[in-house]
Amino acid sequence: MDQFRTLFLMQLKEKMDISFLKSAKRMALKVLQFVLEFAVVCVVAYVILWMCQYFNLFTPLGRLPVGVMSVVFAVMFLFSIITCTVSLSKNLFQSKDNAVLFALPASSETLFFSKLAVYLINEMRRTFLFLVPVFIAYAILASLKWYAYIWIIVMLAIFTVFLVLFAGLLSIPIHYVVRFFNRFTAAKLIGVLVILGLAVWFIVWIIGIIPDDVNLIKNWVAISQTLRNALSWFQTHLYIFYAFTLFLCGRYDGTDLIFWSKYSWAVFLILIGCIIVLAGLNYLISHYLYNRVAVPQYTDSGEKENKPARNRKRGGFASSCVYESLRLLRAGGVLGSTVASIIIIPCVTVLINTVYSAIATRTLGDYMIVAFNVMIVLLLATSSNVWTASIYSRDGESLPLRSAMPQKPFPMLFSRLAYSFFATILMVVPSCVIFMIMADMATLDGILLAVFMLLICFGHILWSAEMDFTHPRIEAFKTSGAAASTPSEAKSVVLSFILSAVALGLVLFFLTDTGNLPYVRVLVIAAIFLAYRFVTFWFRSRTMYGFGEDKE
Amino acid sequence: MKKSSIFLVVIICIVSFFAISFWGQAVDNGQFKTYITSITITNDTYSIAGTDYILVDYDAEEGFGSVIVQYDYAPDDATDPEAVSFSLADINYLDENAEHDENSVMVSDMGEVTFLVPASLTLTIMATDGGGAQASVLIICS
Repeated sequence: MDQFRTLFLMQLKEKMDISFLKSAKRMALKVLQFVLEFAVVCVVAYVILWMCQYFNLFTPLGRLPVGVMSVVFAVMFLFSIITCTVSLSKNLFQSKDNAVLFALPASSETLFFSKLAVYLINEMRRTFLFLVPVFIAYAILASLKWYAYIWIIVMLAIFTVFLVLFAGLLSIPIHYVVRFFNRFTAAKLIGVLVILGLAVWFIVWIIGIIPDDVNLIKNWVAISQTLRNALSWFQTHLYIFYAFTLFLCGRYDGTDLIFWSKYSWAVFLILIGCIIVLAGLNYLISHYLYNRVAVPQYTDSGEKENKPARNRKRGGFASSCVYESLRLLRAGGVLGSTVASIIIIPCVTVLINTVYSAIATRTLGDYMIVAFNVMIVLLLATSSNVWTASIYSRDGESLPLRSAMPQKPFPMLFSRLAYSFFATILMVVPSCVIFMIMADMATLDGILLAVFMLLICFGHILWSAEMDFTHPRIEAFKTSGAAASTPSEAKSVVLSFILSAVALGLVLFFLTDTGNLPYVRVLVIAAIFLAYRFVTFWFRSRTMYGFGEDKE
Repeated sequence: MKKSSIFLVVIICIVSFFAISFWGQAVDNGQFKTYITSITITNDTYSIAGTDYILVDYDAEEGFGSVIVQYDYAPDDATDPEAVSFSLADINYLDENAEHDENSVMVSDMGEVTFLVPASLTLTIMATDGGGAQASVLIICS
């Protein structure tokens, strides 16, 4: 147990910033931040659920059926199980710290469970920042009794334990699949093509079922009826999620919601039983397999020896850009994520514009379509660049050494972003072309809008990268590699949303304004924003890494 | 791409669809209906003890009496002026010796009331366009 505690605390300290525990003031600030984030999610969820209830979307009885929450729960479960499995597969088997941890005098199962425990803390934080506030919002809306809140929190915490253990079990076959694909490039390529093909087929199918004339007001009754039928189908065919949601939100006995009943006991005992069985299976696998599966990662990385290429002479900055871009492409994960974004963003644009074009709009509607297109494309493109908020921290221990390179700090740091800038152009421009064609927009307006979006995306990249080199989290990446996530990334996600929302507001404001050249005006504002970010990036890079010296 | 970002994009797509539908949609006159708000029966009527009634002559030789109930509706630009239904109630057979069944008094979709035996009844015209307007009249066939 002591070994487990030591390993757990050691990894927790490296992967999560728990330094706030030492200072009461910082701890109070951290708690306040958590409460604020919790409250924001809760309010947003409450507003959405309240609107569904107000418009009698799912039932004419003037309340929100539990079935809606079961759909929310099912979607969250699906997303969580995918992300947990992938993350755990990386954390357990591909993490850089395995090389050190396996050398420590601890059994493989202790190591396995210490890693699971660290991940559980992280997942618990996510549960308390999303799933719990959503269910609390439902509890407020449904005027549940005070003990329902405690019940929901405790049961979702227990559910998170189940989720992590289940994902831990799934991570082993997933790891074998990843290893297989890494070993056989052709199979990897076929796998990627199959996934892409399925994604494209799915989008085409969705587009095909969108009616030619979408009139929400006229067909409100029919839409509401379709939603009710879908909900009913879900409750019947995916009963397991509905059953668990009933257990969470209480079962109506005709007069009141009952939390402690034979039904609750049955679900609770099944949940606890599943946790015990999963823990046992995880123990067995970690005891017999973990050593064999995880250790070869640093003895047999499967990397091929690169053939020496002809050395091409380039200028200092260009050379640095090419080198850093190639390094990112070879890092794994980055290229896949970029390609996925380059394909997904135009597909989403086609999908949403097919829906928008089915709505007969007036002028304000046309402006709203432009504004929402800007927001959605920006949100997707900037979210794809969130990883730049850890671009320097990903170097781990080699980051301080890089400042010793015979190069000025600004080109050294800026050249790392060349890849992101180029990838962003590939993400945004096709979407703009699609939108321009589907919305029948003037070519010049389309070009101005594309440049506007690119400037905002570039500003976001610079801002995110600046947050990283001013507050690097080297420790997290030193041991976990790409599996880690940093506070700067979380801030970058928030920035992504804020910038997209502001862009929507600006476009809508200038389009509805009576003045001329609305796209030029938004473009000027975006240019000012980018210039400001560029200047702060330049100054801060000099301050952080330049030390006032001229290195050349 | 983070899970939270994907959720956010999905929510914004749904919100945008609702926002454009509610605030940006072109006004389609077809989606707004002008309901019949009132119906007035225009046949000549008699009055007895303050109650208006339509008198129909019963032809004893033919064993038959009929009347077409005529009506006016308001407003004039009602979307569906023909969306009315006729119903009979309070049927009293005036000749107790005459044989009668449920087909002895009938009303057609056009508002023609047919009497095969002398009777009195209340005819109601109701708008079926959703406006709920209605009018009733007593008809005596003797």
